Amino acid sequence: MKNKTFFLLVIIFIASGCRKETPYIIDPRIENITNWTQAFESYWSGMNHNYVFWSIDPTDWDAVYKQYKPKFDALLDSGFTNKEINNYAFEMIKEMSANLIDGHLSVSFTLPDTVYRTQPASARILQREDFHYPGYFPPQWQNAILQMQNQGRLSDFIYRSTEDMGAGTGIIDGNILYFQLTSFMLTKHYQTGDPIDRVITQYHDFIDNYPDLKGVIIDVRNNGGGYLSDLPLVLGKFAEENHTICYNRKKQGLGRLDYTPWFPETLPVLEKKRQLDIPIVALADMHSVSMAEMTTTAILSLPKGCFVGERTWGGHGSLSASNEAFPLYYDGYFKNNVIEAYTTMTMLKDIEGNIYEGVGIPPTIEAPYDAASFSQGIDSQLERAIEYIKTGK
Amino acid sequence: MKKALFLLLLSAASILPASAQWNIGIKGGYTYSTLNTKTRYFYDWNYVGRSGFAIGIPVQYRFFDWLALQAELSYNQKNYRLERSPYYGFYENRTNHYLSVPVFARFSFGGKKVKGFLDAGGYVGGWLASRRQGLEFTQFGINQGAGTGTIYYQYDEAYEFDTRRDDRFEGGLLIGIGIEYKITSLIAVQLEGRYCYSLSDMQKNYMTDQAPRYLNSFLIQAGVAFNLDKKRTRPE
Repeated sequence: MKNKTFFLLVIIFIASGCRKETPYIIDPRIENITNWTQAFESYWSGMNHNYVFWSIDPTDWDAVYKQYKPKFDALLDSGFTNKEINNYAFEMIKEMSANLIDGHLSVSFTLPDTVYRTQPASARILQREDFHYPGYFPPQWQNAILQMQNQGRLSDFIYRSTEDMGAGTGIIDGNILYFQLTSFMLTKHYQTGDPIDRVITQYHDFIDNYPDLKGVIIDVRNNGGGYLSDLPLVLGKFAEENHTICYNRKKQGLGRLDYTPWFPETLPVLEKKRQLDIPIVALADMHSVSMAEMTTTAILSLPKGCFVGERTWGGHGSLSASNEAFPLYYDGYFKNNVIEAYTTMTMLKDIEGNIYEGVGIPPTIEAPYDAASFSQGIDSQLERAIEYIKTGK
Repeated sequence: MKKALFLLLLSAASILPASAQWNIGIKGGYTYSTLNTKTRYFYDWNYVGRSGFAIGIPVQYRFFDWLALQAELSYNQKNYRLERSPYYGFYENRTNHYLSVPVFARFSFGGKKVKGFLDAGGYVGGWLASRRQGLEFTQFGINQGAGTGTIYYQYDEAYEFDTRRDDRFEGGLLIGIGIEYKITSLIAVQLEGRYCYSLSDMQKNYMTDQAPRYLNSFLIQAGVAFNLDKKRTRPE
């Protein structure tokens, strides 16, 4: 009997050796990097376990490791003092990150004498056939707005700007509510009595009281995003409680494909005085990023939501740029003494199941940037949005 | 070759003892499973065990009074829970449905009426389905600012397998201990405890620096076994 028991224990002992071991994985947030070999390992491993888009990203991160590890190992003794080596090494970091689809991704390496940075999405957008610079905001847009005012088409218009954003609202052609904002910092100003707060108050007053409204245009062109908490201030009077605007998911483990379920995001609502059953149009362009794209997604989820303009940037995740956020999200952004990986914590899909990360949201009605019209004081994209509200086409 | 194999089987059968018996039965009971993995720097993540149930149909061939070979077709729930820190309160309960085929040797000892036994062998099986139930926070919920909305998302849904990651084959070793009471020469009741030690990662080898996951189970089962071989049963 004793022999049998001993035999069983031996089998269990041997069998336990058949299991795979968990590799040593270190938190990139606590590392102290002193050379390129370490920097590569830290960046590669940090992305390996924290990047949220592995399920849809085309980059073969294992192949990247095999290709670049020997090259970085060869730099073990170089430290960070040789500028030429630093340039060469960061070029490799840039190459290996070039196809990562996160529209927010910005990788920076802070070395004693230089800060290196790469933003793959910024390089990618330059490749678009319809690429244009966002320089028409605000000068050309302001000219077009002024022309509309002079023509008597835009009334009750106020525009205010502060150091962090600009916002304006008014009534176009007597019954179309227009709201434009350059970034989503409204929460910071709301109920402070400052100039932006005045625009918010005016906008809410139009929604609640302006007679015979036929439609709303929310202009987020060249808007780089901002606070998620701005969403109710922009759209909170247009939806009922528990209206699903999109779905998000986060990482749920060390594995690249470990995810939480898709959880529905509902639109936080504001108190409203009336029910408006009118078209709501998002006016966005290729420089509409992040919260500007989330707002566009939210508008498209509304029963009469529409998107006029250009395919957006393609960065729909939410981001908290702090290591402190890690214990809440367990993915995304990480930073140590050298590396800062500005990468998002969530992956978003719209209510129809489309994921446009790295691609951009396609417009319902395409209205490309028209430099010639703008030079004549005509905002052709805004005109197309107005036409849609008037004609339904 | 086939002929030689047939002759070998025939000769093996001819040396089986006269007391050899076929038994079939049914059993069921309680399972408690734990996920064996490392969470590394996901500091407040804990995987804890959860209970479930199992039912099975065992088929046994008894060579001698002290030795039998047993195989089973068994449905097992192998459940576990992922818990975050109580500060946040997020969690996920995973309910995993497995169909397993344990095959093992049973070593019996004791008297005619009451016998003890020890089991040792292995099992293979398939991960049929899974369900996840838990609590997460929503992005626009925790950032609702001036608005009012839903902060948390309570979910209870079928888990969608990802063919790139999930390995739905399972295999491992098992050991067990139990007791059998013969009510008649044809019917016996059994009570047993079993530990299933998984040797198969729940994930395919799909990434570098992967943390493997092994799902181990402890089972307590009660059942009844019927002797199918009346003619060869020796009188009590």
